[in-house]
Amino acid sequence: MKNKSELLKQIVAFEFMKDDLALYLNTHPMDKEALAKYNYYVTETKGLKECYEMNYGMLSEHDSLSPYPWQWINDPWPWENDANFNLEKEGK
Amino acid sequence: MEQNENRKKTAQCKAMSKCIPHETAIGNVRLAMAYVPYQKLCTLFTPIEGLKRGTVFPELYSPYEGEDKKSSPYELSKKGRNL
Amino acid sequence: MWTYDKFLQFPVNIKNANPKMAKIIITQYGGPDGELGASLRYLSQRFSMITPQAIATCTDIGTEELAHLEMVGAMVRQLMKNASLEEIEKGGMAGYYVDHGRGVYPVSSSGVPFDATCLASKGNPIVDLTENLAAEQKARATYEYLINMADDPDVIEPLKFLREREVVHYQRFGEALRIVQEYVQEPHLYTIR
Repeated sequence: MKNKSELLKQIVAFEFMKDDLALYLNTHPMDKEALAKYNYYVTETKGLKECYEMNYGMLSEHDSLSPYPWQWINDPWPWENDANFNLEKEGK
Repeated sequence: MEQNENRKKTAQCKAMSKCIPHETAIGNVRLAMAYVPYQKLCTLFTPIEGLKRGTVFPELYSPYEGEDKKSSPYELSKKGRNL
Repeated sequence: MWTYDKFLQFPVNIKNANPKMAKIIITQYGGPDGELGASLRYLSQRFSMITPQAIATCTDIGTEELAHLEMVGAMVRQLMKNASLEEIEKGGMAGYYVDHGRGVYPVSSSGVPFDATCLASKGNPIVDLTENLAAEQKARATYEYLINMADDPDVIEPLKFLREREVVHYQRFGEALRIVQEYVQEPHLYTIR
């Protein structure tokens, strides 16, 4: 099973893929191929997020279950260094 | 069976290399209007590659390396570097 | 309405304090061409926008700009939080420090607090989308100037990401403008109120 950092890196990358595809779909609503790709990444990301949240903590207050005590308030917050994984420079 | 697979892949490669990621002619233009060409989907970066670059679409990727801190704009223009 | 995801859109992990850099990067937080202005602009314009494609574009890009605002705030915080008072003074951030400590506050790099006059929402779809094209170019140029001034790779990589997003947004607003222009040209009774 991936470690926390690796899993978060994948989630952030897949979320980004979804974001960029969604913006494309807003102006190309009839593009079947793009739509299929978007839906694929929605399903994949759901699975990754479930795995992350089961092991490492809540990612949103939307649909995530919390253990006891209330987990949402835990550190680190996204703007803290510890919350950020290492992404090698582009092109590497 | 394998031959069919290879044929399919070659056809896909050919199709991809012919894929132009934007419209090539804009019809019905009028004066005093702005026209940005529509993008067309060809290929995508992988999610990690897309994240590193800031877009999942290769045709929209526009790398910027920064300006040399020590050269003056005049020196840069002599070297052929403009805006 | 909005939900919040507990991760940045792109990682920010700056190890070296640099108030001098914070002083200029903060302009993308509270400055004239920054992310706060961008998100308010698009999220305000969408109420009077036309065509579903353009409304969705304004909504989604406006939302993404909030995520970018968060990234810029994270950069400023990380550049300031471990800075010594001497570094803060040398970096030209003494004035900011006395009003905001090592915290984050929306100002431009010349210390002018955020002002909504940097954005327009004219209530006319073609005007608003044209404004947005200009806004994305201004933001892109600002990131290029910031990249020019930076030398820490931890700072440069998020700036490059944010710059590329402006290029993509320009394309999307351009497409939205095409869609709106075509809609308006269609031979049916149409008036913009």
